[in-house]
Amino acid sequence: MPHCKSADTCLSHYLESRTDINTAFDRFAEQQVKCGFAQLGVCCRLCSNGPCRITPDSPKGVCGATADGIVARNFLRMVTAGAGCYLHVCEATARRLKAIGEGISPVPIRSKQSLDQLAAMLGIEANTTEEKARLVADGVLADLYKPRHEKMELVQFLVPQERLDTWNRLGIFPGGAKAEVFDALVKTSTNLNTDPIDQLLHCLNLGISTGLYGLTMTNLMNDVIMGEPEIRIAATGFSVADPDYVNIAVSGHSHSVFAGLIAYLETAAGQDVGRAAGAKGVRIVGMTCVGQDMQLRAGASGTEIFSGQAGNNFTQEALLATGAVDMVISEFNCTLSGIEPIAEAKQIKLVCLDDVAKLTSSELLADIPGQERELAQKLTRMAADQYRQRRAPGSEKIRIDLPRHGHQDVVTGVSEKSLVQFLGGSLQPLVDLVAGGRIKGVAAVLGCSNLAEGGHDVMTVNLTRELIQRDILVLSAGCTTGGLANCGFCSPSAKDWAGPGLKGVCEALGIPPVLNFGPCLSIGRIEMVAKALAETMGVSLPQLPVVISAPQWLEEQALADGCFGLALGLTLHLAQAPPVTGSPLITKVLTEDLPNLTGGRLFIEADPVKTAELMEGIIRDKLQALGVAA
Amino acid sequence: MKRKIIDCEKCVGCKNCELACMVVHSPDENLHQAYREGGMAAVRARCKIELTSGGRLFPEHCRHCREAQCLQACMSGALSRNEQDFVVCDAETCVGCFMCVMSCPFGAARPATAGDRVMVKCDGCSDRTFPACVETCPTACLTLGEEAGQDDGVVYVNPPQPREACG
Ligand code: SF4
Ligand code: SF4
Ligand code: SF4
Ligand code: SF4
Repeated sequence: MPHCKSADTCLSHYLESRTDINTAFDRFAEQQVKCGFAQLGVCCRLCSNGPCRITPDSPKGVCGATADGIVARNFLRMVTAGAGCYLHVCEATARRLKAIGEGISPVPIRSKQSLDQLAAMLGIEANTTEEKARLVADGVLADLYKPRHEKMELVQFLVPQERLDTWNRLGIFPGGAKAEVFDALVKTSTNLNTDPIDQLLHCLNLGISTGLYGLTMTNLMNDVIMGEPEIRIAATGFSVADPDYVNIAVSGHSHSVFAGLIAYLETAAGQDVGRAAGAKGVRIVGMTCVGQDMQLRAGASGTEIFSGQAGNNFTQEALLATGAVDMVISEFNCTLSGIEPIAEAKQIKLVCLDDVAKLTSSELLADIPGQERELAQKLTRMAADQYRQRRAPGSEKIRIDLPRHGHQDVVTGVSEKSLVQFLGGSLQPLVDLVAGGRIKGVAAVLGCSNLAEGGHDVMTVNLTRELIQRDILVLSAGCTTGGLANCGFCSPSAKDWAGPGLKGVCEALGIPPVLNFGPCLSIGRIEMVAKALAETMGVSLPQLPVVISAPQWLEEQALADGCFGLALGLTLHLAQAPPVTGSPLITKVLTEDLPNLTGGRLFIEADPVKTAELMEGIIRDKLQALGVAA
Repeated sequence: MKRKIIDCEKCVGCKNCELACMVVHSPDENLHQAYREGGMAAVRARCKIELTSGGRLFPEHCRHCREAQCLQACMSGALSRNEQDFVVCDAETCVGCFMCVMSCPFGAARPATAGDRVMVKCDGCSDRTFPACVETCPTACLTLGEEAGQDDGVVYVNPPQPREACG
């Protein structure tokens, strides 16, 4: 069976050498024959008269549904699920902050400054830190739980007024976020809404709550609990795992779910548990986005006990196959079920902290606010026991085969605040670089990784290389960043791959050509940078000379993120069309009519060189429209 | 010569063969473009999944018959047998009399659903290295292989009972 490639050649070689394991890279080949109806989005399974598929011989479903109607509701269902995922993370974070504020959770607040700033933005005043935390959390939860007819209140400060006006004009400013998710599901059920445009507008509505709550509020609350990102140098790749330690790999999206564990491992008592098992101590190894978040904030929390980010979503099976990990804790998505047989073979304990992330063979230990300390102690003991068992003489010894992989000098900790700080207090220097023609512009390459676009991280890396060669500074958040960092793009030496203008800037500032914002949640941070840039330049978001690309989008959450970008009025590139092309109407609205609705635009292009050319052209046109010489 | 072998037991009715056939006969031969702006209606799959009166799935494909009734009925000269031994239609010459449609015992010669009044039929994917339907079939119901003892260009394995008519 041919093996799917990765842009990360070291990873590719490692996977090829490990013929004993079966990973997504093997299974991808087995799944090559695709169902065209699913790719087009024209299959409906909503009732017992179906499934119905749209063909020339059968242009309508039994109920009369057209291709446009079927595609629209399938798409809305995907966006709804994606929005629900991010809102779940936001809710969990707010519940923790509330429990801390109420004195139920023993978890510390690591950044009072963030809390003060957040409370001030929300117009919340309180006498004590605890009360402030509680009121912020209460406000977020109240908004999330509002009925649909009551509009969200808190987050209007996160977007320019012009956006609020546009959204109100289109009627897409969301009511209570969870209620919007609920009614989207109602709307897409059998023989309900058949209006494709109404459904598409609902997608944008969900995109807004995904972005403002699921992404941005989650980040801001996690900054309070876990501390703010600080720009620093960190390590990535499989080499971050040190087999002399008890290694706990983490997977998911909710940083503060680990607040208790991190606090405990920072104590001598926590480390002693590992030492008693014969290890040098206990370390956390980053896997998927929550590892990215830890990497981002490790300047403020878990500095000593966090080894670094091993890799993105599709590296996890290989990471576990190295044998260097003793336990995996998952609290949210991107934990592949493919790790289960590998964990079994390598005697790796699988634990999940939230039933939404329950794997068949993982043990569910519910994370309950207030019981963080007990849970942390239990998890640490379990990991240490696993370490002891895995290394016990006499028992079948676990072979550790850890390749030299990754980079030691990755620049991380970039956020909307740390970037401004780094630039000396405002984004003006960045604007000047573009206006002065030293760099041609700024692009965001973000979102997931998949195997479908020429291989793991292949499109992401090729597109990024093209962009930086064209003197376009790249901001990255999500699994794209994990891949780019492991391929060297977030290390200062990557300047040599950049065009002369960008290279000069990298040298002068000591930065890599790709700025690493960490997890996919940080798409919200990039939005905040965009908003600040627009304010600095005195333009609206649709006028802003930036383009975003999610070159290897994978899943439903990415589609909800994409809807956020389109609602913001940004131009979004995808390499692979979402399953909507079976509907002429939806395709037309997304790719042609959107500029007149939100100002956003979607374009699909699978070739990295053509994509980079198009992105460069879009930035140039926007600069020209603003009268800035390009 | 390799022929299309159709193992009726393996068909799950996913219709991806029909879709693939439409795509390769659409203007830009691209899945995502095929449904654009009414384009879908203009191309018609040359194969069709039928349900027999006994409730079995039956992939109805042109047999490229040795004694092709359609060819014999065609008075305009549009239908001919090409070098690869496939019975093909030249749409430019077809006058749309549909004598072929009435003659084919299998319903494999069909009128176009939109555009010019012409017949459409399987061309064996003569200009491709591999028939699109075979390439796409996920269950190996459609395969290519050597199968001796039959004259037609298509071989049916495990066909439904003769009295099960196609609906
Ligand atoms: S809801 Fe309509 S299109 Fe969907 S399966 Fe039922 S009849 Fe078919
Ligand atoms: S169209 Fe019908 S008659 Fe003509 S070759 Fe095909 S199966 Fe035979
Ligand atoms: S061989 Fe080609 S033309 Fe004939 S049914 Fe298959 S895809 Fe259609
Ligand atoms: S692609 Fe194969 S399994 Fe699917 S309907 Fe066609 S013949 Fe049957």
